[in-house]
Amino acid sequence: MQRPEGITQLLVDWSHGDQKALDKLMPLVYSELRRQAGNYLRRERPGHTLQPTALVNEAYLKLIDQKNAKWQNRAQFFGVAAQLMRRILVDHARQHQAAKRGGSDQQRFSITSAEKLVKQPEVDLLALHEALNELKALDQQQERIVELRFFGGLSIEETAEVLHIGHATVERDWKMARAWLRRKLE
Amino acid sequence: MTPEGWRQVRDIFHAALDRAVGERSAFLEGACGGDEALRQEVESLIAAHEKDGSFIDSPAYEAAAGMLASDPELTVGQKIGHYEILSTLGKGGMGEVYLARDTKLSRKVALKVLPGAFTQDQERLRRFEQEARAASALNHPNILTIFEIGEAEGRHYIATEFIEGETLGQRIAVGPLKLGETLNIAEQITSALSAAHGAGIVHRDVKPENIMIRRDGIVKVLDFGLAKLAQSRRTGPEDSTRALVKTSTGVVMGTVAYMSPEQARGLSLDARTDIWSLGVVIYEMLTGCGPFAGATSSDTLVSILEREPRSLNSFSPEIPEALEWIVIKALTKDCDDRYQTARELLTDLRRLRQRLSVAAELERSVAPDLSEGAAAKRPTRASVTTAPYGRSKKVGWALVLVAVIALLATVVIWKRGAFWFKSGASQGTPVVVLMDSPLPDRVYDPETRKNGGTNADDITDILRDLPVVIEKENTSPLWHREDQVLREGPSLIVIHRSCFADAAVGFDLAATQVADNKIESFLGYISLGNPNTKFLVYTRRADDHGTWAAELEKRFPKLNGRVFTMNVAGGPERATFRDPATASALRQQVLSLLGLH
Repeated sequence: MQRPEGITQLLVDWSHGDQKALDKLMPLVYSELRRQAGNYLRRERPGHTLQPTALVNEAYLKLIDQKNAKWQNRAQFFGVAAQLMRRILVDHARQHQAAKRGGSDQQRFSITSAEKLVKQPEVDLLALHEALNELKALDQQQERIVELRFFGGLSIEETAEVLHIGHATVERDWKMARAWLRRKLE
Repeated sequence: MTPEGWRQVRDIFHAALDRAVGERSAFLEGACGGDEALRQEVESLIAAHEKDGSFIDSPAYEAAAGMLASDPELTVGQKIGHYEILSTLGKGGMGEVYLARDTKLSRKVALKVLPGAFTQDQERLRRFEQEARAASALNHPNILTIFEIGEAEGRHYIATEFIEGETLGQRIAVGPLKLGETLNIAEQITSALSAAHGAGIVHRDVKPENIMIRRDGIVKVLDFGLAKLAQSRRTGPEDSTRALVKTSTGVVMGTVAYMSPEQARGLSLDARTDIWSLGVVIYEMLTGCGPFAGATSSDTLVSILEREPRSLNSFSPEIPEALEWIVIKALTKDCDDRYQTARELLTDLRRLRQRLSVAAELERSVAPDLSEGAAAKRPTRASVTTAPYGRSKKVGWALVLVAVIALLATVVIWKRGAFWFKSGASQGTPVVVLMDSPLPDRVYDPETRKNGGTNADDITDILRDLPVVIEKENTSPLWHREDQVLREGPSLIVIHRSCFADAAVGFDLAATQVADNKIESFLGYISLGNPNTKFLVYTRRADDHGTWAAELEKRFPKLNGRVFTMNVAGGPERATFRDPATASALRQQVLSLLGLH
């Protein structure tokens, strides 16, 4: 049984490099993100602009014990949530692919509802994930920025806060990484 | 590319973007110093940068939301404790339900896995488990059996018996249910609730999705106590309202329609909230739509708090008034005026179904024995399914009924014969039935009794010379005779107010508790009886004269234009109709109602 403090402790442990903490954390954050995603789908209409940090922010409010002094840093949580989000989505896409190959009926994950909502071209999450790994080898900061912006939904300012760098740097690196990924994936 | 090469590309890319579009080409020419590959690299990045609209411009979860939301938490073959997931059964606000195999006992179970968010609060979880355990101890045929409440790998789950069938929601989606089917299902739900309430467990989320109909027709109520877990932790009324508004866009959206007014207002709840929700469910079974349906959750809430539902009768004239009355009593906004216990509701539902079954049997078994004229006069009515009765039972019933009818027919013929002899009336003569009050305030005392004078006796005297057949029912309470009375197809029933309406319209409830059930069954019979029968209701109470009749008409539209009231407060206390003015007024009223001017 994980109490809110438990989650907070797990986040602290993980940020200190404890990989076991991540294993315990994943299902909890995952289930919360999933719930938020469900709410999001019900609430949002096509063309409606989303509050950039709504999803992780709501997860943050839900999961983190606000009174716990050990985890006061919202930015830190966003950083963690973005990373988790990436893992979750990529794991999911892998399962999806495996299920497709296996031809199991039960495992057919539909993203039609999302397709209806989103006008952007569909993302190949696995290709993106690999491209990001490639980018990491060239420029780790840009990879982090993409992770925070794209998977975490953070704004330029929030990203700057998480990475302790200036807004202008985030903006420039984001432009570059974005252009590079677009060229690579589209 | 090397990190060094990357940095070079990056610096030129940014420098180029800082320049106006027209100057970039010349800038790149110089910056790349003839390195064609470098120049192409930067130019293609700039081209990618200039393109409009990219997946990367919206956060990943926008695209992933659908994927995440529709994603079952567990996958086939996965094990949770000693359960192996076989398939996904469904999904609700309270978690996902899987078909799983209990590897220990090698049986199929339904495994409900609670969402992580609900299990974060120890206290709430403890209360839920307590309640679920209490529910699991109920062992009632209409309550889903809980095998185990457990936890494995950080997931809390409930393993229950696996029901093959459909939810009531799925059944209603096909179309409104038949009357007999509705009563059968309603009774089973009520019975489950009655047992749970008796054990101090309130469901709080009675709705068609929480009711399963097994293939053999057995109804199972699911998820006792789960709603409490989903409830806001905060308990103040304002907080609950806020929580409600918040959740109305979220997972429990569908539930708003079944919320009781006290639930909608965030007040504390008791068993009576389930009675309301059940009222909504019965209404929906009969009509296919909710009584308080609104375009949005807020509209629905306003409707729940402020509006009266459209009358059932307006959906189908075949829905008996008695059932409408039952539903209205369950859907009374003030919980103090509602059915107080599921047991009361169950008694009423059972009685109604029995009566309808008897009526249906009468129609089926006895109709051929009656004269053509009598059969033709019989009003048409809803066919009633009597699912729980076996064939052999039916035959037994029919035999008993034939015997009873034969006896009744003899009595009726004898009585009619006596009247014909007395009044010389013919078959076409209107029948007037006089019914006196069986209640404490009935006009009846030793002195007048000595003279043979109940109200009905007095009225008989007043109407003696009119070309009508008079039937007196003053010696037996209403509920013993209304079936006979209505089978006669009387033109007019003259009846004391206390026999008729008090309990039905909710006033003087305490004083008329005795008559409560009787009136309900009486109203049930009205719908089976002659649709042209008029009612003349007399009362001594000047204060409420007319009010309740209007209320009654409002609630039972089928009575519209058929109920007439008369204030008889002018006569002496216990011999109302001995007053000449009252007697004359009554006579005039009867003449006018029968069209005998």
